[in-house]
Amino acid sequence: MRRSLAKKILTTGLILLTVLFPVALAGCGKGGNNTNSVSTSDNSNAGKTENNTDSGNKEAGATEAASTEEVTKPDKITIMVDGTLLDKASGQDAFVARFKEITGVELVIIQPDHNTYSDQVALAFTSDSVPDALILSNQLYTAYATQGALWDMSEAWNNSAAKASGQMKEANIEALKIDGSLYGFAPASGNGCITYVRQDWLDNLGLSVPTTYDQYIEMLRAFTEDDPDGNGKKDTYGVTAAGIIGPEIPYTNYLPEFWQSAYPDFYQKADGTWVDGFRETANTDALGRLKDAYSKGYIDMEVATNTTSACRDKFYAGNTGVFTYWAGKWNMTLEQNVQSTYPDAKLTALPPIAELGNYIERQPPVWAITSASKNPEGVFKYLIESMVDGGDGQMLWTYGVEGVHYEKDASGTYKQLPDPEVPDNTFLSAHIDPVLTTRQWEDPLYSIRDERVKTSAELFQANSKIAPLIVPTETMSAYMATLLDARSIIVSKVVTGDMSVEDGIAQYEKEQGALSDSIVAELNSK
Amino acid sequence: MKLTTKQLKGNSRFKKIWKYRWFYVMIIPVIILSLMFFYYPMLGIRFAFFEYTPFKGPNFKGFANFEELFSNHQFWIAFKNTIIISTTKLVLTTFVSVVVSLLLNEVANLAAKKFFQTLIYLPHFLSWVVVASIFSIILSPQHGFMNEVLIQIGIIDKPIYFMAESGWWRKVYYVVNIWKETGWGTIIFLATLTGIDPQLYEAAAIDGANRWAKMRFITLPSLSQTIIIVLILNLAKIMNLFESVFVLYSPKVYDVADVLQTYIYRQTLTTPLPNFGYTTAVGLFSSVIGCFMVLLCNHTSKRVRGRGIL
Amino acid sequence: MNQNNSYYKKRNIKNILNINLLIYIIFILITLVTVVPLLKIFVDSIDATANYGINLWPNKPVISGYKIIVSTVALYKPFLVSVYVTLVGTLLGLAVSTIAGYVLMQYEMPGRTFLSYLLLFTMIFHGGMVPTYLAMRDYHLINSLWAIILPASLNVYNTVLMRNFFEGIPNSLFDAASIDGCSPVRIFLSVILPLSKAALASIGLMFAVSYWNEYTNFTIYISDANLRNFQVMLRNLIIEDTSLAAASSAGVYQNTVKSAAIMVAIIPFMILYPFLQKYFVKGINMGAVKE
Repeated sequence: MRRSLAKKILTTGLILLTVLFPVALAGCGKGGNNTNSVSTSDNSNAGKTENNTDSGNKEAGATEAASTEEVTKPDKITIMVDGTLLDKASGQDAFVARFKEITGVELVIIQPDHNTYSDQVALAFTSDSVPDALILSNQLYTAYATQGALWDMSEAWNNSAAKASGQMKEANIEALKIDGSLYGFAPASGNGCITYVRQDWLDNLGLSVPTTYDQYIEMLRAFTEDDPDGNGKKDTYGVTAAGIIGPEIPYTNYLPEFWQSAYPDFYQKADGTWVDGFRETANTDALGRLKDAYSKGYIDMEVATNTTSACRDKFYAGNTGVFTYWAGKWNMTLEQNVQSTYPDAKLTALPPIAELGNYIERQPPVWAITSASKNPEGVFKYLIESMVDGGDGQMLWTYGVEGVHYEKDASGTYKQLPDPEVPDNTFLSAHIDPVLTTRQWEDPLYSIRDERVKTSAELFQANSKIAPLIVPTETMSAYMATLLDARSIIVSKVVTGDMSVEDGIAQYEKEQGALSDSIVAELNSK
Repeated sequence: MKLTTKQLKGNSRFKKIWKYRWFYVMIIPVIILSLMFFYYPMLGIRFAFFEYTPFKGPNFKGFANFEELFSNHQFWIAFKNTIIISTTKLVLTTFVSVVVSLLLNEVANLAAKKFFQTLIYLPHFLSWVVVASIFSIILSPQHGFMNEVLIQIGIIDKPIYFMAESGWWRKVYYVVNIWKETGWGTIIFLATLTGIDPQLYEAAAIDGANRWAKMRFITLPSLSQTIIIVLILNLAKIMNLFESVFVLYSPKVYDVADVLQTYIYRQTLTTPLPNFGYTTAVGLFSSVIGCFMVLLCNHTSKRVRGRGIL
Repeated sequence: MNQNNSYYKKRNIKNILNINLLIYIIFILITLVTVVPLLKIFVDSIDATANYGINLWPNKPVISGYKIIVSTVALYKPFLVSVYVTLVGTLLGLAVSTIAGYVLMQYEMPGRTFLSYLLLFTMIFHGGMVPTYLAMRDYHLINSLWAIILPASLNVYNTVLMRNFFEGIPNSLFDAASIDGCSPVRIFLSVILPLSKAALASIGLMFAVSYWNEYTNFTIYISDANLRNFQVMLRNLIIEDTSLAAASSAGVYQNTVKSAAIMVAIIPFMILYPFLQKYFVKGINMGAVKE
């Protein structure tokens, strides 16, 4: 037995040696040996340096462009984009062909699976296969910009035809500046969630649309206890949501009427000081309201484990009468689906109640040009500006290709065609949601737009403010996950009754108070 | 004299190698596969000691990644949960699979056997996302099947929120795992059972052995090697528990449900600049634990049965 | 199997009946437990208003869920990709695991222990996502289905199980073959493989299922939309907010379409399984010994 153990150790050692041997080589053989591993590590180093030189050159490039105002047209532009751009099955090839027709530029599209897009972006940068331009979530945008991975497009934006047109919602673009420089461009606003209410339930109960929190709670009570659907069974409840606290900024969009002015994360007050909103009384009050409503059964009992699709199905099935979800085209989709079971159903998009004041608009995903791009000015002009040119380009990025995605009859009336991918559906947009564009233009399809989509989008636009763009500090990004964990654990335990509000807040103070203090101090000293 | 023995020994070793020459040739493609797709990438394990983000590094940082890991409170909760949930799950599912295989082996009617077998395999073909959505419906406190039945027969008077109560979560998790994987687990055991020489049973029958005795003295011993292999090989994967937990848990039950991989997932998902060095460090830590367990159990198996799995 | 003598039979007949009855009752219970959740998916897939709750009969039976899946052109190619990867991968996986299993069986072979540890470590230690990705890039396998097929074909778990099955083959058969002067390769091809049908069927099915359900590697190594597999699409359908189904026309719930897609994903195995099953149930050695 003993001998076999010794043998095993020997074997293990041998194998480890086989593994470590090339490691050792790779560690000291930078001079260029001919083993496989060394040559690769050399390759990747070469890639990195090249990258650095590129970013070093970027200032020189920018000034050059400004002085000459001549922008060379790139032959091709490589972009990386998530599922928000139409895919192959929906006619991406026709899209690319049309793009070439308009701009003369060949568009090469890398479109990884939607769910793992951010992993793929990270891999692309790690393996030095960086595209010219890519779409980035708000969080990736701030992080990548501060790492020097993105090209400063302030100059290009200031000189752009889009800006000169005077039709851009400039505030949306200005809001993306980081320390005065612009690294990303949003052809569409970020949209946000608005509360939808079953108008037919309100009518059945003789209630009017709530405008204050008291009326809102009264509505939830009535929806829960007074049999709003008139089926004689007590089988409904007030409101459903996919979680109590959202997993990302702006956090409070699932149940905004309860959160009201509370904001459970770091934010800058009007006087310029930073605070941790989770430790403010507004947050304690919000938790109290949520806990109270949950214990009375007004909030979906399964709020802590719901997925969004489960919430939608519950809303469609008439289990609940209030649901906060995306403004715009979802108004139509939600109503159509409810009506398939309850033909008399009607939805109303609720203006924010008095205590809430405003809905929150999400920071939009942005198009950014990488520092690795050889001709960033050209990419800006031919790619980004084409999305907001108020003409052919914008038409393409919004509605797709004529003859494939929409058609115009002899009288000049437009008609949207079925989605090539799902023939039962109408093709609605190629990339930019028409109701969200940041460039006002004469949208030729405006007149055929669904009334419900228009009203809820316009109501939202009129009653929302944009979430702050927060550039995280080092400590903040390092401990973001830890803090989010702590908050979501406490919120779910408090609201569903495992813990009192006081205990929850006390636990946060005890476990995360010091960390929170140091981050606030760091933010305030910036 | 000594010299000649050595020579002889060397000679016989060479003879042995020559005797097995065809086996070496056969295994070459397999070795190439393992070198290309496993050992060459394994060089990346060194990044556990580096800082390495999409824009930085790799810069050598010594044990900094490990220090960060070990000083984290939630990490230790997750580590404890991983060990408890993983081993309990492994033992339970293997045990149930063995019992079901033995029972299935006793079913004499071939058609019935085929029917049962086909049916119990099916849940395995469903992905975890699907399984989670089915069970959250069955266990729902709002008119979920389970709660309705329990209330009807008067065991409880208020619905239980099975998926989100710390006291219930693990039990639910084990039940769901047994439901999904038992049938599939029987494949291996049944394939082994079909390999048992029928003469053994015939001989035992002549000796007057009853059903129980046959199972006890023929079937189980034949299965034991397979059971041990399955257990030990699964130990290597013990730290990899991820998807099944990920689709079933929620913040409310993190204290009993959060495992190492879900913890890491949240840590990397919510940071826009993932430090691959940190995640590699976690991976290395898990691998070392897994390796230790496998070698330990293999050694124990050798001690007890005179034979390991390798 | 029941060639018991009559004395033994008589004494135990009551007992045996009871045991059989008990076994059947247990299996009926197991069946029920297994079936109810599966039935729920099936019923939902043909119910226009499939919703939250248990109903074992559709409220409003339709086939539009399936119609949406079938009419969704975007799912055709992924389905074919899945079939291709599963077929090629399973064959390759079986080749690797039988060869390696056969070699690992040679306990006297010099270097065997080293070899077995070499393989075992591939199961335990991993380089991590980034180094593996960089290696694939060096091999020019990014956006190639071989990046999915090749690494997964070396599965140590399956190899060890395969070796375990091989060891069940009676030694007398090997000896006979060696005396006949067969080379190891000949023995492998003409003695071992034909006798291991149950093992090949079960390990093959295990390979097939894991290739069919392959998801993570597709999302890492494949960014070409033409090479996505069915699982990636299915996942998007189930998790995504803006999936095909979410946008699908009024009248059909998302849950209906989801359930239909799940059923479609299981169907290949329901078709394949009966063909494999005869190898599971029949004994393998019975025929061989009698020869």
